[in-house]
Amino acid sequence: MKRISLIVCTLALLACFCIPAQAAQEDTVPYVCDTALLLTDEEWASLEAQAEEISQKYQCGVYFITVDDFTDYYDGSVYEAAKAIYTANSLGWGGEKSGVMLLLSMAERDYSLIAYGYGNTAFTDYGKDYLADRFLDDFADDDWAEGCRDYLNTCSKMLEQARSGNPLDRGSRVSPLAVLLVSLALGFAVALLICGIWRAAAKKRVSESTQAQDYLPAGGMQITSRQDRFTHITQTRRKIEKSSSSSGGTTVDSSGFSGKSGKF
Amino acid sequence: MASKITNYQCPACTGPLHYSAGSGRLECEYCGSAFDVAEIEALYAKKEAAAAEALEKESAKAPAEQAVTEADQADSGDDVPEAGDFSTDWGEDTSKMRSYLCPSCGAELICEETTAATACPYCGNPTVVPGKFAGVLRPDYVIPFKFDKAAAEKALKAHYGRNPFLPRAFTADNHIAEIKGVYVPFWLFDVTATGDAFYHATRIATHISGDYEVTTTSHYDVSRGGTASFTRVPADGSQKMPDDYMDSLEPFDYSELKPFSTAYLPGYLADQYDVDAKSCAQRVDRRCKQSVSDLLRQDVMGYATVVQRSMRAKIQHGDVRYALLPVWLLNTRWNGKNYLYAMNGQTGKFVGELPVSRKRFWALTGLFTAVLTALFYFSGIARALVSLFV
Repeated sequence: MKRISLIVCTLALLACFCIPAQAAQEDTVPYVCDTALLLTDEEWASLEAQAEEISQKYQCGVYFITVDDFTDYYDGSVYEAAKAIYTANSLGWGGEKSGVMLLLSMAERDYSLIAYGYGNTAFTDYGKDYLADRFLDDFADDDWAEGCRDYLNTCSKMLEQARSGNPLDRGSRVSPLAVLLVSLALGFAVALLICGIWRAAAKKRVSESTQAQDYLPAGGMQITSRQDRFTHITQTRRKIEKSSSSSGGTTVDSSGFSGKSGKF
Repeated sequence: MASKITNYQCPACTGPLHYSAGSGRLECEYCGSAFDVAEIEALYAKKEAAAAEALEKESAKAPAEQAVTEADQADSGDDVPEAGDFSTDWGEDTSKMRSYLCPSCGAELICEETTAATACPYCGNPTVVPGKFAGVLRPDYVIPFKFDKAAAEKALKAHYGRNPFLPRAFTADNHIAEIKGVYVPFWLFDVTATGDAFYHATRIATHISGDYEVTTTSHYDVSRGGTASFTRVPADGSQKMPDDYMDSLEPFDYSELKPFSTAYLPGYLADQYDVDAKSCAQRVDRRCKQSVSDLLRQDVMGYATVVQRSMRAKIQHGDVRYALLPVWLLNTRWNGKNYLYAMNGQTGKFVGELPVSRKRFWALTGLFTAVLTALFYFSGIARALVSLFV
């Protein structure tokens, strides 16, 4: 079974860069496409079944694709190659082509994790970092099946969380109790400040006057001398810290994809 | 012997006249007649001059004899015993007291020596001591009352409404112990203040150079000199009046200053000054110096930071005028404590400290906390804040 799918997969991947996309669509690419031959038949069958089940359950394609060298498919970055494979093979679920895809390229041990459509909602930038942390250690140990399983399991959990309307994002894993306590502390501090200022204003309505500008008629003040003398210059240099964005959400590029890439 | 005090009587029915803040005229409570200030001034000019003369003669007597005397028996025609017949042991305070006879009912009025206008505690008729405002003691100006007693009471109620922390029992339990319209003696100073101020100022420019943010600060020595001519800066000349209350009632609208006449006083209290202009000048000088400093600082523009290094100011006094300005004083008592409120009798500006209920303060803080907590929780602000540390 794996052999058949491998042939289909390889042909499809190759064909998508040679012939129009419509032709490639006739042979459906499986969810787990192991052209680099990293998985055993049993492993592949098990993982393919799991990926299909997750995809159908959440109506969002979950793809795992391995290639020997991504440059065989696309002349650019591994991220661009992953996007090209996804688009050319018309991957994704439904009209929105929703999905998430992990591409492993064995030549330089590159990986790219991309999302499209609803995948952008379910897999935020923070979520992709979280997801990558789950499988990268396995791939670093050449434990391909375990890495793929961790990938699929984590995708399943993240899609479940997204379905509840609260996709995994920066801050979404924060305990509601902690948020409530911080809200309470902030609310109390601001309320105390407002009421304190209000009370001070209500209490203190009489004070000795310290100025007399009310008694200065128009043109009553005449400036008789003005002098502005430059003396010297001082200069300070500060190294700009490259801080990571603290805001959540998903950064989607102009082609509608979001993703990250790196080495494993 | 002439009476030392004047009771303005209605030319139509001889009822007592009082100055009405609403109409700006002297009105008779009995027959309803109303008269212009000028009319009454003309009628009473002679009587006032005689009263002033009588007071001058009184002042010439030894201080011991002046204390609590009964000098108007002959004028009143009543057989009123000497004050000394009742008691001669009034202590040191007697030197600061004066007694007069009410021309209307003959009762004895005992007032402070600075009192220039009051009301008879027996018949309620307004009386004026014109001698207190004679000669060099005569004020240059007066601003008549524009708000009456009812307006002052209304303003107090409105003042209560502005404090959400006011104890409920305060508005329910406290009663206005006293409301009095007082012409407060003020000194009005013309002051020319010349100042020179020196500052250290900086301009800051920032640009990015590679991985660095470079901040260039240009330093300047800045100086400004100027002259400010202040007109009629007020300072109250009454020891009894708290300076902070009187300052808080400012400003008065000087366009309504009138040449002084005692005809504006009936119906109100009025005091002669007991703090001289020289003593008040120090407070005025401080205010003018601070204003010149502020104005010079405002002229230093275009800098990111300005720090004053030094400032010197020279004060020159011009004319000093003496004026009576209208103030409503309201006393209330609650929980054994006196609360004083004051209203500018010309502009209606109201000042005075209100008590704060701790219970109400914490109740309102609690309410705000609940609303703000919900806002922070549901808006995601708290979540974003927590996620920064998670």
